[in-house]
Amino acid sequence: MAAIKVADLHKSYRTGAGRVPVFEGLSFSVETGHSLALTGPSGSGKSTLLNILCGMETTDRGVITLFGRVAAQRSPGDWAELRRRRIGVVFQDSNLMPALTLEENVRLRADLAGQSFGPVRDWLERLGLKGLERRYPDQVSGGQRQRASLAMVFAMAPDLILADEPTGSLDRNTAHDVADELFLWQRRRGCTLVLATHDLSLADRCDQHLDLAGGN
Amino acid sequence: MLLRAILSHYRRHPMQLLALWAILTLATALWSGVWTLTDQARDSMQVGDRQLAGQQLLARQDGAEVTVEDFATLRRQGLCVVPWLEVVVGSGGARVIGVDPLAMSCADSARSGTAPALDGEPFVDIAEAAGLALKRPSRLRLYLARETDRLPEGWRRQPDPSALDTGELADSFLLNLNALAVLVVLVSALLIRSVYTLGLAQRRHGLQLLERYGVQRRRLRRYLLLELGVLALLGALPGHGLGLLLAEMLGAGFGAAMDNLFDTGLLQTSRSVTGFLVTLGVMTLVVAWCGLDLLKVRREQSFIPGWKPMAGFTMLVAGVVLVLVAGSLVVAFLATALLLAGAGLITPWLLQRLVLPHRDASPLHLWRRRELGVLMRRLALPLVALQLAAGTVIAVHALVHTFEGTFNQWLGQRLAGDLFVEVPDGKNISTVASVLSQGHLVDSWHPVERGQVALVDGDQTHILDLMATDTRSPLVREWSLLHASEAPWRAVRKGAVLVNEQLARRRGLAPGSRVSILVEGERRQVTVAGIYADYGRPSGEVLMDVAFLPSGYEPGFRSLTITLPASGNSRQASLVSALEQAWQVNGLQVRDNATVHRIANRIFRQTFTLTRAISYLTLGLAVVALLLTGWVVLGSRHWYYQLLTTWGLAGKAWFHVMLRLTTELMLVIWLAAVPTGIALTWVLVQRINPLAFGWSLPMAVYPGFWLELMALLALSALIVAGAFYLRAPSQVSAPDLATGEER
Ligand SMILES: Nc1ncnc2c1ncn2[C@@H]1O[C@H](COP(=O)(O)OP(=O)(O)OP(=O)(O)O)[C@@H](O)[C@H]1O
Ligand SMILES: [Mg+2]
Repeated sequence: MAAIKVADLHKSYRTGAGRVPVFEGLSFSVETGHSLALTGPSGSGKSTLLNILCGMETTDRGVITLFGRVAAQRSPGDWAELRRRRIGVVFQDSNLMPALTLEENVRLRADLAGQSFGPVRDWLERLGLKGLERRYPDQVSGGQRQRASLAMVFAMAPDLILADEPTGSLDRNTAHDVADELFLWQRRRGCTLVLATHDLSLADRCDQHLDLAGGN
Repeated sequence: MLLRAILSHYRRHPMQLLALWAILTLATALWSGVWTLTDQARDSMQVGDRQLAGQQLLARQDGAEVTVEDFATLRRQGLCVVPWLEVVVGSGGARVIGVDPLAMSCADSARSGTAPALDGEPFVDIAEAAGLALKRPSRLRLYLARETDRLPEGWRRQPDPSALDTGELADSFLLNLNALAVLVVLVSALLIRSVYTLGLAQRRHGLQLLERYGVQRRRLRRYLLLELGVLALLGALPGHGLGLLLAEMLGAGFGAAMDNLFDTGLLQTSRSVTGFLVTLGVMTLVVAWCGLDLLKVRREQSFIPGWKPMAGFTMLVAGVVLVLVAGSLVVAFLATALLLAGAGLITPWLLQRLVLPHRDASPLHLWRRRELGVLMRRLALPLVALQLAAGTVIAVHALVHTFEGTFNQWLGQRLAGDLFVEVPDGKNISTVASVLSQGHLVDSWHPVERGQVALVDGDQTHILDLMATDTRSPLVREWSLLHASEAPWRAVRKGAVLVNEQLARRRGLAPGSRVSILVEGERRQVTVAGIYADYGRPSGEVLMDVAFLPSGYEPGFRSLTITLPASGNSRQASLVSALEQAWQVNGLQVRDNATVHRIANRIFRQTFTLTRAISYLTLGLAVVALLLTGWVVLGSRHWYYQLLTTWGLAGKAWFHVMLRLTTELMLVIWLAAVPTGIALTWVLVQRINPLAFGWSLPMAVYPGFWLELMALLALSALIVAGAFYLRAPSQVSAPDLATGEER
């Protein structure tokens, strides 16, 4: 069964200079448990698509089906509920609340998702953050922050992960390690993953590949 | 080009420029408004003081009436006397009053050069009134400026017979008002600084870049100071105008009355120029304070460095000790300043501790509390400003209420009865006994004799005022006493005395104390049965029953207090003429107590209204500044609040979280403001007032008002949260954690 089905999606932004079309008839689908890489030059609409998929952005036209249900039928409250329990979002940076320690951040995310706090420390340890649990985000490196962001998503046990350049701000090696963790977890849990990236080697590790370059 | 680069910040954040300018303008408006209003209040009270006759009259030693020629002669001799010529012009007793604006301006107490409008009594120039007086009944009084100490040959001082001295009560109120005006300046300085530093913190990165590009820091600083100076001037000019407008609007009733009386344009202009200079001076200080920040363009900002709570604590302790032991006004004010500064330094630190999350708190609670901590650190300055402003409002509210209540009660005591009749020189009360016993003319009456006694303390004697009255009179027994032994009035009828508060404080007297007094050379041991409040003047006073005056005692001054029978208004004239007949005099000195009461109340009420207005304006400004800075700070955290939405805390749930955050912030300020307000009130009425005047005001707190204040703060919290909720969520970009987003 397809976790995500997008058919004939149209989206444009209204700016002072008129309408800026981003998508004009985009269609694709992702099977449950599969991973999809979104690529394309800057400004091609990767982030926009991810925002649409988690209900944070509206569309002009088209049908999106998520977990077997048409998105248009979902109320804002339904979307919030989905994001809280089933969709994990990871940004390039700043996924952590600056006033909370790494551990507290993970707990907060687990709490919102209704998950128990039990494995929180395990997740941090598995991601190589043992000993850093009580540090604040500005007291650890960018790679460590990004791994903590993954721990947050893992702790909520989502059915779908939307990751927007999750390794974009990391060096090659660290990026590789973080990606390893992400794919390992995704495969083991059978969770669906949509990943926007400029990094073609990362895109190659996904089951599917969607290039948003030439007007889809 | 460099200037352009520096100013580019405001192109990106035009609202910040607007906010800074608005806060500068509003603060200036507040200062000059307060300055003008305090000035007006002072004038109004002094005029009221004169009207209630707190001044000394000049009398000829030969007892003859004073004339307009006398006045001219005295003026030529350089003596500062103020004439007050009442001429009866109509059959219904309508009067005109001749005054001399020039003479009034020489007396400090008439700085405004005005006198109040008595109902329906026009003021005219003394020359014109003198012309009218040629053919009509008239009376001239010459008031002596207070500080005059040497009198020309042939003249003596005479207390104003209708004296009701509100002088000290008014002075005390003005003292408090001035203290509060200083606080207002402090609060608005804090506000300006907080808005400015907030902008500077945001610009720091750009300024560092410029420095890295080789621009000398000195040059940067110069430009920034220039910018600040220009902004300050741009704010000061309209602000000052706005302040005058504000004062005019608030004080319209009083100001209009003054303008109708005299052409005081000249005086007012010179006053507003001084006002502007004061405003500019304060502005320079504040700007210099802001400029201090420029010296550390590069240093990392740390909102609560470690020394602050320690310094705050030390200052608080020192302030408390000083305030308790203060023996002089200067020390008391210094102590108050220490207390406030200490409170300002320690409050952010204390509140940080207050909002520490509980153990086992839910993660969301933990997040909210931590976020609250961040906001409190970043908003420390405007929060302290709001704390002080709210504290000031609480203190002003308590003060005004206390003054109003005290004044009314005291006035009620002093103006008991309908009429106050002066017993003419050389006449006796017994002469009019038959008139006073006529039930259709007089309901009840009692005599008041005033003179002097001496208090003997070892081999020293101190001259005290004496007030002797018939303490069986129901009018007297309505007096409330501050402290009393059991059945004080009965004790007084048996020979005990009452003393006023200032005497009790000075001599350490309490009910039950025994003192030794000399009355007309006769030495007596008497018991103090009670202590009464006496706000009018500094001198000590002893009250005893007339029955205990030595038989040959010659009082300095005798009067009758008379209650007319119901519907007695029409009888007043017949009573007065009956008394005049019995005493065989013309033009008896009669004071209609109700009228005096009304005038006094009118003057004081207006002053109280002005004072309240000032304090609310301060609070308003503090709230506006907090909203402005809060908006900027919350805006810089918007990404994280959006993150909550991304995590599924959307819509109403999100609004609730934000509302709780802002409400808790306001609640915390309220918690800090209430004790500040109470402490301020206490220091003002219980410490500073006794030091300045020898008597204290009752200390009262008004919890109902605290709740009102809380409601106001809660409303501001709702506004911020609401505005944030409605703010477009898009265009929020992730902050750069690497550059040190505050945690
Ligand atoms: N809020 C907005 N208002 C107007 N236009 C927008 C808005 N957000 C994005 N756009 C425009 O929509 C297009 C797609 O933007 P998007 O952020 O999705 O690109 P992207 O593929 O994620 O780029 P990048 O690789 O740089 O992150 C861009 O042209 C962008 O300018
Ligand atoms: Mg993007």
